[in-house]
Amino acid sequence: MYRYIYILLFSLILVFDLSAQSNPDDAIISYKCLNKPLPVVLKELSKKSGLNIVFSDSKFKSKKTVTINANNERLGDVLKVILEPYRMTIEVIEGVIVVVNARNEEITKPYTLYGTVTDKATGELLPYAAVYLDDRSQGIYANEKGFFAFKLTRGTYKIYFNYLGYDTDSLSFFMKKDSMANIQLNLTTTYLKEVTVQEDLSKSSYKYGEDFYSKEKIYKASSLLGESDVLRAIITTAGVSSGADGFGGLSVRGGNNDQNLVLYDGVPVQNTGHAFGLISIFSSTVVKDARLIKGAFPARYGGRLSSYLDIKTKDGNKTRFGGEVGISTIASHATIEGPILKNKASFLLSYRRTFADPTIKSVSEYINQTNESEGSTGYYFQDMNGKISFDLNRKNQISISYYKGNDDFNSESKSQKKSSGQDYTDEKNNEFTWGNNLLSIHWNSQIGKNQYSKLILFQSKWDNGFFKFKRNARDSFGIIDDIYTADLKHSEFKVRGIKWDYDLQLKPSNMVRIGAGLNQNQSSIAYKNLSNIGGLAIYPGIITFDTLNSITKPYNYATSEYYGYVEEEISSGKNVIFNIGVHASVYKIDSLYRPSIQPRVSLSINGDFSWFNVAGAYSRQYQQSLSENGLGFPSDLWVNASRFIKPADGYNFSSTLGFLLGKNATINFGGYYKTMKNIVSLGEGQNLVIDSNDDWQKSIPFGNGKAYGAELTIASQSKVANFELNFTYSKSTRQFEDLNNAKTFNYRFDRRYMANGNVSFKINPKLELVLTGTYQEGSKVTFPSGGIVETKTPAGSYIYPIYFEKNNFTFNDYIRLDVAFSYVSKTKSGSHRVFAGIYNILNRKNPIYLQIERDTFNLNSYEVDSVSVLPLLPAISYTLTF
Amino acid sequence: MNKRIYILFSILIVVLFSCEEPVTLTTIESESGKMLVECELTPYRTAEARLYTIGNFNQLNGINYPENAVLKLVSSEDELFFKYDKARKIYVSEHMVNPNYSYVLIGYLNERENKIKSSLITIPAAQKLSIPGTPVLKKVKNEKGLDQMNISFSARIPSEVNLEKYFYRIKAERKIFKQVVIGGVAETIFSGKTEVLDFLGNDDIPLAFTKSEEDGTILFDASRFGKENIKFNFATKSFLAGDKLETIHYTLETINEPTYRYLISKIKQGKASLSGTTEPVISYSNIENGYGYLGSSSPVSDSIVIK
Repeated sequence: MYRYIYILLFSLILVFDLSAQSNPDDAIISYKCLNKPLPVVLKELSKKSGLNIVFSDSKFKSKKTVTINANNERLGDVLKVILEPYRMTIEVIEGVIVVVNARNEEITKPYTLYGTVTDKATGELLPYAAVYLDDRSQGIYANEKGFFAFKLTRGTYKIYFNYLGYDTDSLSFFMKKDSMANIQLNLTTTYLKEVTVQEDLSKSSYKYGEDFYSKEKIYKASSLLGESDVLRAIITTAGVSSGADGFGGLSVRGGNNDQNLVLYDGVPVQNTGHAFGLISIFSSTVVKDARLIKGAFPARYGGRLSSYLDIKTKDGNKTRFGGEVGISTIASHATIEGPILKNKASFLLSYRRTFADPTIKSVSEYINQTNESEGSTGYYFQDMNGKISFDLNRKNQISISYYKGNDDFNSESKSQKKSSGQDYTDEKNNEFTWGNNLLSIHWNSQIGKNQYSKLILFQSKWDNGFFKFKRNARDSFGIIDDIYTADLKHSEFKVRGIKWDYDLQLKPSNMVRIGAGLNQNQSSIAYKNLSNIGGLAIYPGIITFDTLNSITKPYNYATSEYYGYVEEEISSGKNVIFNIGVHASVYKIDSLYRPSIQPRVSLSINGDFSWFNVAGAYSRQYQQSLSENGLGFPSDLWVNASRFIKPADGYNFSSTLGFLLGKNATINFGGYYKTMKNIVSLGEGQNLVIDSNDDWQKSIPFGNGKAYGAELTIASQSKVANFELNFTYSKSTRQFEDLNNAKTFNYRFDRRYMANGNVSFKINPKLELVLTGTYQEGSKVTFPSGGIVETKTPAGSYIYPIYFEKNNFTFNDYIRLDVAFSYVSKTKSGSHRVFAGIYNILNRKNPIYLQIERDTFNLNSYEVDSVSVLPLLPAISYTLTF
Repeated sequence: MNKRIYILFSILIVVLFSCEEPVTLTTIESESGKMLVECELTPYRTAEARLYTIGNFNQLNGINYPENAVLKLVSSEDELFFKYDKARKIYVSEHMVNPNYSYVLIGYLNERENKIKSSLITIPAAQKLSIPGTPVLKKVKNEKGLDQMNISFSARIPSEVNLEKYFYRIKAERKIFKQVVIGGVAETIFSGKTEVLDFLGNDDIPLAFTKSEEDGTILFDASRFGKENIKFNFATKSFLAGDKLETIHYTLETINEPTYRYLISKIKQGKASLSGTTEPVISYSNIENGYGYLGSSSPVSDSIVIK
């Protein structure tokens, strides 16, 4: 028995030994050469290894030369690397290495280079990092979680990895099998230090009709009272408009402000404003970057007509504890982050709050006393962000994000005056609260080498409560003329959803994305208005929040939206990318189903010095907001499509043509045309009452919109100065059968001309000067043309204004110039950033809206005030990052 | 020092919420004193016109009713002058309107001032409702717990003979019956009263209909229904024992667009409030250098027999 075993072992050893001897290409050699002809190299390798390498000189007529530096490499690998450009390889025949023509499948067989791009210091994944070959013949973007899968055929490559604000890194390798590469990039800069190479991403963004906002760009945007803000960066973008000073949300390419889907870590946000929209709810400390898609919507996006704003928050630092504390003129914030398990799991917590409420109260009391009235104003906002991220293993990550923020404004004033023996009383009481509550759980999974899956569970809750009471009373020798109005508005809008996205890199030139999701919406809205104007006195005297709330029953409803998409990106050659897809949805309310098929298509042609993109999309929107003034105030009421409220539909066409000017400058021309159907508005003169039955929905008018425009963006970056200039020409109109006598009218934010400029100069490595200028043609407002006395009211004559055209009045042009200095220094304690600037240095009174109020002393007359909110304002902030 | 800075910044924050600047807008002044005229032409009747001058929005002195204005209807064939009726505070034309003419209204307070001039209007042809089925009756309880009768029927407007788009105004009425006992026998007799039926709306296109609370008439835009039948839902105010519904009498007026737009905006204005969640009411006008409307209407009366 033992004999057999010995024989078997001996035989195996012999076989292995013989096998080793029969594979001469396994020999290990070291060899280097510079620009030598291939036959010479083959001869030298044969000589150096002592092995026969058979080849025919006639096959190497090319003048190509070989440069290689191999150190203790396998001979076979070395030969394959140097023969690959000649489409040749080796075979070992009878112990002899023979150079032969490579088989076609060996050359064309695709392999996958896959992995992630992360921040080296924090381990944070970098979304949409650019990955491209050194000759730029091929390139892709990592997905939103920093994962990339790059298909390549056999050969030698050098690949660059680039992310805005980080040093570009490269990787040289011979592609012979599927390989994984986790790339870690170094942060190039503190906040305002310039990055030398930025054009790859910014230029490419234009190619795809997207605008990208890095953390740096957000910091450089005009900051109000020292609070840098992602939305302030976005409103300087070509084609994006807003109310004065940022009021009014975003109007993207002439669309309504409710037509933008704002995603915060993938969770839809209904209202983005603190302080009535002056400051966004997105604390710049937490925001990693943002991406605005304003034209070419890929099929993976759905639910809005005008734009998608995708804001990502930072993961916590997985390698060390750190944080940030800061104070600005209006608020202070603190952030702490660090590893829970080093390199595996991290946390981030951030809190921000205004601190001036006691002062606002005491100063407003003083101002009221000066005006011979009593009362005070109180206001604060606060928000907190929390995030926990786990790397379950190299291919699976789970993160949990939470946001909660709220605003609280209250104002009371009462004045009593005597004039001509009559007593006048003016009373006002306003109580406004609003806030968002967002929670999401993300599971990102890399499946195999070229597939990626993202699953998100989320809940977004938005609620607001607005109460306004106004009373003007006159006691004329015992005859009391008491006029009051009171409004109560309350809404709660909750979305619970699940969404799954799956990316598959089928081949180098073919990426497929599919996904599906479900949103369940629960809404509760109520609106009640009481007024005794016209003699309809129901509750004499003072109305309180409780009085009105006790007689108001909310309207509750639940809806579901099921959706799915398929998207395919096909590359042809190195310059042409074709993206085609379809987004489908079914909306359900009660037993009513509304299906929709939304095709999307885009074509990009990208050269080294120029690029062109054209795209078309059809979209549907199931939630819209009813706005009193189009300003996008938090008091706007979000309503779901229903039996009576139709969903809005829109077509969107856009095109961009861009050129590279020199090394660091780009110029982009763009144009767009869009239509909107079934958009909602409040009705003319309706005293909307929203309560538990659905009659109020029958009074909502529907209309259509149209917008078109042209955009020009010039951007330049150098080590000393950067600038970006945007110009927009646009026109946006609306037509409702039940508004403006069915005549077409200009949209509230129809601004024919807009220009924005942002210039930054690096004075020295620590100090930077930033200038921001904005010009916008004035926005539109409806202004009365005259007044008529209505004599039928028991309280006496009452004048009502007559209007002859909607949005007939154009405010003065909005012009603003901001100047700011940013100083950054690094010490042992961390990075110190001081921001000092002046907002609206021209002190221009840019009007936001017209306020029409009854004259206290003449109840038959009205005062018209143009309200501007932000005059010249100095601002300073300090931030310590450690 | 720190305290001073804190106070300074705090004041600036307060300034944020109280920076209001009064402005004077030139558009207000230019509109005051202009003439506002309301005139609707009906075939073979004299025309009546109400004339006002509108006030200044900021410093209103009240509405004025000029008595000495010159008003005339001009057609290619004719000129109809108006006379002021002091008792009714309206201007009345001296002759009747000819349905075959197109008219323009011209008016002025005195020769030196700008004249008001309306757009050219035509008189529409009267049309009847075409009712393919029979009305559906349903007795229900109203908010007070009393019986009321709901009446639903579908109808369509026959193809319009005019190229111009017209609108409609309808008013439906019925006779109220009551039960009496004569010689021990209960009988249903006409009470001598009629009532305007209450319009309950249309859920298909709710905003296609606008109800005037003043006289119960309903304005509607038939074109919004395309080729579909238009569903009318009416109700009696009450339907007591012994009451019965035999016939619905209606008056359908074909009205031109200026009439429709102007009346709609006026109805909205009547309901409007300065406060609350609302858009301002945009008034309609087809009058140059002034405001108001020159409209036209052609009525026809008919009845629907309930089987």
